[in-house]
Amino acid sequence: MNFLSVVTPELLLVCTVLAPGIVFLVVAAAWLVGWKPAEKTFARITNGTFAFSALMFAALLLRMFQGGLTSLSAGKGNWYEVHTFRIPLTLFVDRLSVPLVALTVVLCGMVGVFARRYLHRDPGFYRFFLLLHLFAFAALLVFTAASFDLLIGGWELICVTSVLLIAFFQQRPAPAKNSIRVFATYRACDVGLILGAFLLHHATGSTLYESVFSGSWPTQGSAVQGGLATAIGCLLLFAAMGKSAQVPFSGWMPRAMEGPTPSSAIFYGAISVHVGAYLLLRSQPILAASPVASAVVVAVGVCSALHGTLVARACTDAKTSLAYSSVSQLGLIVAEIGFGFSWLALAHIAGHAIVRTLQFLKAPSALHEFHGMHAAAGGHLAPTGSHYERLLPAKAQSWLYRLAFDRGHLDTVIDRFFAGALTRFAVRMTSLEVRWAHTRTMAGVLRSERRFND
Amino acid sequence: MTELAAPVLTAAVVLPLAAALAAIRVRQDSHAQRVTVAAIGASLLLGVEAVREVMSTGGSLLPERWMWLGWEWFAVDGLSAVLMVLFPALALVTLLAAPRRDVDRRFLITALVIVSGTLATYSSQNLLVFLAGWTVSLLPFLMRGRHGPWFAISRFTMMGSAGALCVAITINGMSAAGAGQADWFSMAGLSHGAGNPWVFGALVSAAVLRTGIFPAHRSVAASLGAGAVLLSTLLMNAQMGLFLMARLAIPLFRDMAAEVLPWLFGLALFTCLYMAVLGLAERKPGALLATVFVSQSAGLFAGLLTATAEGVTGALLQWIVLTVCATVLTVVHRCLQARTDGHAGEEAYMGLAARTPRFAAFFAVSALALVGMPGTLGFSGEDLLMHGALSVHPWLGAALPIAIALNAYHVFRLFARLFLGKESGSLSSVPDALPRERWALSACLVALVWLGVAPAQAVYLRAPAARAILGHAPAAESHFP
Repeated sequence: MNFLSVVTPELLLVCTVLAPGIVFLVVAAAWLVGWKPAEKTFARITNGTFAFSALMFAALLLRMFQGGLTSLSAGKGNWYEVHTFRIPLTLFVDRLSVPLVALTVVLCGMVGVFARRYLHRDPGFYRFFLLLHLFAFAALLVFTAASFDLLIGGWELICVTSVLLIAFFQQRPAPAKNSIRVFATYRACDVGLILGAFLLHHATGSTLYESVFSGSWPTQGSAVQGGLATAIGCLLLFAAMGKSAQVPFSGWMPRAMEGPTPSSAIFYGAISVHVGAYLLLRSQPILAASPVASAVVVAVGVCSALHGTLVARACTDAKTSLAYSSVSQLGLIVAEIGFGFSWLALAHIAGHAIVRTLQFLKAPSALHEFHGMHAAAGGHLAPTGSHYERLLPAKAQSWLYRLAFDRGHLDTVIDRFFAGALTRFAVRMTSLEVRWAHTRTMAGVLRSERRFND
Repeated sequence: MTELAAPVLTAAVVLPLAAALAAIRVRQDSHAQRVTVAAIGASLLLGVEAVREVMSTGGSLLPERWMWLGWEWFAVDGLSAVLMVLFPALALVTLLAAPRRDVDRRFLITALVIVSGTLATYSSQNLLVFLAGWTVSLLPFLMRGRHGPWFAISRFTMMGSAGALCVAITINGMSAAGAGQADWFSMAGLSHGAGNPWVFGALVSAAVLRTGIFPAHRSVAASLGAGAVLLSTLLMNAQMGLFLMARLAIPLFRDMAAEVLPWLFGLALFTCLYMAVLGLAERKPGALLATVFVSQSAGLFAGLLTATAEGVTGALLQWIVLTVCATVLTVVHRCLQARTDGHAGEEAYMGLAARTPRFAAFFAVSALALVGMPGTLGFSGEDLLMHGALSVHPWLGAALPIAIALNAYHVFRLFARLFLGKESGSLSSVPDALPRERWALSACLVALVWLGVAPAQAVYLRAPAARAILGHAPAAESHFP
């Protein structure tokens, strides 16, 4: 049998996606029953996994290039099926997902190499590498899912790995608190994705991209139009706002910086924050079918870009400043998607991911590098951005500074008027119920109880 | 095959009861424990045999050949066969992984009585057996000491559920006698009362009270959070209210169900969301877990009432997930309480992950599976459940994903409080999961992940039950525009 006929492009795609997931499952199960590999061994396994995935993907690209294919589907049949509802187990790559899959495999591998030394002898070394594998699998699943249902699977796994890595330094209470906050934001926004996927299912009978969209990316048409397209577009935007830290949900981004630097780089610089933008890019035909949804996307993007750049200037530490710079860039990407500049947004995502990963990985030595640059410039490094400030009156400058310093008051508003109100309602209802339990209404029950016990 | 080849159901019910009697006579706790494990293990194997026979016939109802006193007592079908395996398996996990200080003779006897009563209810073909199993499984709970007004109210609620069931069976028996039927208490004979709204009302009341649907929500949560939590969780895992709806109320009262189910569906969804919101005010880990369990149970109840293939199958899958996850979460929490002298989760952050990483892993995976983490059966179950609820009523159905998101927040908050944060100096000697705990809990996680990666197997196992419920359920009226 010819070897090349066995190694089909479909198999190469499946191997690319599944490799980190299988390694995660095997190592996690072995650890659960008592096996703990040496740091060196685990690092080698990680390097081997991502090298294997990269090789498989390179081979896949070669085969697609040779065959003149612009997209490829792998897998037939359904993951599960109930009556007319079915979740197809199909992976899919096209011109949109190829660069993102390549970025994921390469950057995860690089971060793995970096983290081997960065986390050497850290008590959470194994945890980090386990979660890195799970994250890589989840991100690859999002980028190669052929349906919104399968995409939700990867999407939620990214959420879990993200919050577990934010709580990585578990001996401090701050990461624990911040991980809870990030988890709450993620899960609240995921409701939008679930409802959006349901509406798509209802409208087209399936959430497979081939049922929802016609043609090939980026010149696709949408099967849903009018008010339904607006509703679905807005729901998907809501989900993307959570993952890509758009206003008013951007408050989780600086909190997520509690995690180790390699995880900040891969999650909040490179891959995870761009997943929301990917969702919008993937559903761009739906947005294009609704001027209202497109306008909302542009408005959210522009607001986030302005908010990000304003707050980043008032931040006092490198990672938070980088986080808000990311928010700003993501806002621009979202606005580009709203305007329909799909290729520009994709190039922006790729460029931003690479640059931001580098910046995050260099953040721990940023002060050292600044001193080097300062000395090389003869001690005359001028602060940037001051020429913008001069354009504003002093009163506006101080007002904007206060606004930026409290990060646009967004967290305060959410805490006071939403989370706080809900908690107060819960406390009030609980106290009412407790009072009810002690009223005369229940006295009879209590009397019968006493008789029963006597 | 039209009937079971051997009296496996009778044996599965009687063995734990006989073991309970034997355990009363045995003097040492260790001997009683061996007897208990052997009896529940035997029930589990008999349940596996029942599943094998039922699945070989495509999930049809298989009665036992032996008819005591001329009545059919026990039968098994696609709905009850899986539960006949699941329930003893979870009881076994609880017994093996429970802290040794909890497992005394009283605990063992109680567990055996609950297992016997529950299996009797699952496999009953006779209404008297159904009522006896329902009541017997409640007896240990009713006999427990007092734990404040909430516990009193929850005891009243449980007694109310048994009373309502008793009323339904009595009215039905009277109408059967009036109609000149010989077998007053056969399950099939319940259709004599199909036109009687009192019978239907009493059955629904019993199911609502036992599951903890509003206004019984708080009392059921209190029953889970007080006293011996492992036994309370075992009792909740039986999910008798759901079983009553699936076995009797929906199939046998088709016309009345068509009118009542939409209202009940709304009430169940309200309970699901309301309990999830109330969780925000809970600070004690046990009470918070109980709140989440009741909220999730109400979600299952709503799924069952959608009368759609997705909703019913989702509810049946989530039934497995809820019971497995509740067992793991309660056992881990109880083990930690035993190791920390009852303070697990009372402090702001306990930082136990450093000392007990495996417990942390068990807790995290099962907590997230409960709220639909991908890679576990919870993902498929929640997905189907939400599709079912949303397809029946999109506005009301939207409460379900919101409630699940809130419950996810609660379980992660609890995980953070137990396992994250600075480790207290007094907890430096807390040991991680012992081998017996590790293997028992690992088996639960493997089952969740295995069925999560290949959910088609779970769907296949539950398909006959879903078909049976849907075959009898009135078609749901979709409110989708």
